[in-house]
Amino acid sequence: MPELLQLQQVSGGYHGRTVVHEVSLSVAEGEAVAAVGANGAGKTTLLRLIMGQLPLSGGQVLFAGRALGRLPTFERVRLGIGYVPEGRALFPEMSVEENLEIGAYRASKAELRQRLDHIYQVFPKLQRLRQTRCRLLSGGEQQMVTVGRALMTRPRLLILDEPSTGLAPRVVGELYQALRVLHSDGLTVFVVEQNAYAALRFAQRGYVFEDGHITRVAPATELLHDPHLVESYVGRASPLASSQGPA
Amino acid sequence: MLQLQTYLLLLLTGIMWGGVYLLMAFGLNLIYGVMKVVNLAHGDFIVVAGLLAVTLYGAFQAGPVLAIPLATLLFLLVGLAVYRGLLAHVDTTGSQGELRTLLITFGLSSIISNIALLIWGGQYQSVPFFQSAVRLGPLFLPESLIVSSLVAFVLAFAVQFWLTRTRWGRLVRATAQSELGAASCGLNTGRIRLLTFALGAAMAGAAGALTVVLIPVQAASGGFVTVQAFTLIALGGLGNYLGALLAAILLGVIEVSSSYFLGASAASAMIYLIFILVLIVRPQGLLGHRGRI
Repeated sequence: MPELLQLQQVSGGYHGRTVVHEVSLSVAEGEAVAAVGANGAGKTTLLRLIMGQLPLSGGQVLFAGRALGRLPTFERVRLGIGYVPEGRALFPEMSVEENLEIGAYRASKAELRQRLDHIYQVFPKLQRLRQTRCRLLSGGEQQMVTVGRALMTRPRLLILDEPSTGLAPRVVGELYQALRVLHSDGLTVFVVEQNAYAALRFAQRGYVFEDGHITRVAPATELLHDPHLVESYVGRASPLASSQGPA
Repeated sequence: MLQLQTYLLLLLTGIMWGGVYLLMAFGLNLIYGVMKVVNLAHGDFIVVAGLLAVTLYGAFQAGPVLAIPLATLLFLLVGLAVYRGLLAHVDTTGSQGELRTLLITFGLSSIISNIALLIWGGQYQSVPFFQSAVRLGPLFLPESLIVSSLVAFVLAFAVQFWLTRTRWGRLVRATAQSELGAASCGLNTGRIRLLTFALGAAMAGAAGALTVVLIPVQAASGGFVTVQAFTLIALGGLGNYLGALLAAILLGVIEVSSSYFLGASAASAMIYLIFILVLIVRPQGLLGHRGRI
């Protein structure tokens, strides 16, 4: 499979302090990949580097074989990288539908309608809430809007930053179920998570991220059954999460 | 009966002055709402546009009908140049960013007001246009006030329509509400910021060229105008366009009626008193979330 996203020895951080150290990873077309790690491991920084929110201090990011260099975030989105940022970054005073529409603001009317229908198919709840201001939604609903808005850009690759943060276990399950459907429809997904259990049950391959370094890469099932990893990242979350039943 | 007429006149004049203040604060509000930048040179833009209108009147007997479009265009270009030349080069994020933009626009304010002082000198000047008064039943209202406030309210309505009903306006609002969200929709947020700043500056130009028929200005008046405009938008909730409208009317009515009953100096004290009260009781502005850009 051809690599859609490739990171070669990527380093970077804030104000001269390096947070991400020479990270190399790849996501193949059609793959679902997770990077898991503890709070403060540099996961969000890594995504900010991929999205051009921060400048690289070393290495390079390639998308579909093209080096992205210093391309600004919006250009990366236009190339086909859908981005679900940490903290959701919704337009709080706008309705659900307005938020979604801005994701496809360059599309024609017919195209827009088609994409909206697709989102409402993936998240039927959003159709009922379409006139509601996003500020008034629950955390789970807001996260659905953010994912929906990113999908409205028609991405080839969807990148998610900690989508489970602040959500109840049941809602996390729903969200990942939607991601499973999208992935089985052919979308390439790269998710970064502290909730290793949820992410690794979804992904095919996983990277373990510690102190800004990649320390392991393995098939997700292997990582899920690794007692050491389960202890350090999955930990007490797993009995709770596994009570939701099979994926 | 006379009592009622007096109250009516005060109310009407107050609302009209509110419109004028709104016009003078509009650009500042838009720029703050979208960019979180307080343009301290805003008042100087208004003053220079006013002085330019004075010069145009002196040279060609040209009234606001010519001066307004010229000043609007000129300050659109000034806005583009200031953004491209200065603001685009600094990191405006975080509390450090706010300080940087305050310092930059403060410096700009000094430069502009001193250049204006060299060109126009320090005397107060005005454009003697719309000097008659209109009789409305038993009430007499100055024409300059009527025209200025009409233009102000039309402009306020037009901007609100633009922000909420048009494609570009919605993209501007989206950028105001989350720049990261806008960028992750593929929006060129740098271009939106450029457009917003230029538009805000153009509005200051239009406001200056019009209100100089009502309020005489001199080269150094800019600082006071900025403070007045900032008070208004803070009262309305920074970057809140509905709140600004409400705050403008409130300030106008309070100023006009307190200066009628208590005298002119009490009027300006009253406005700051109310401003302080609002900061204590409702620091998010009169309307809070509602009506934010």
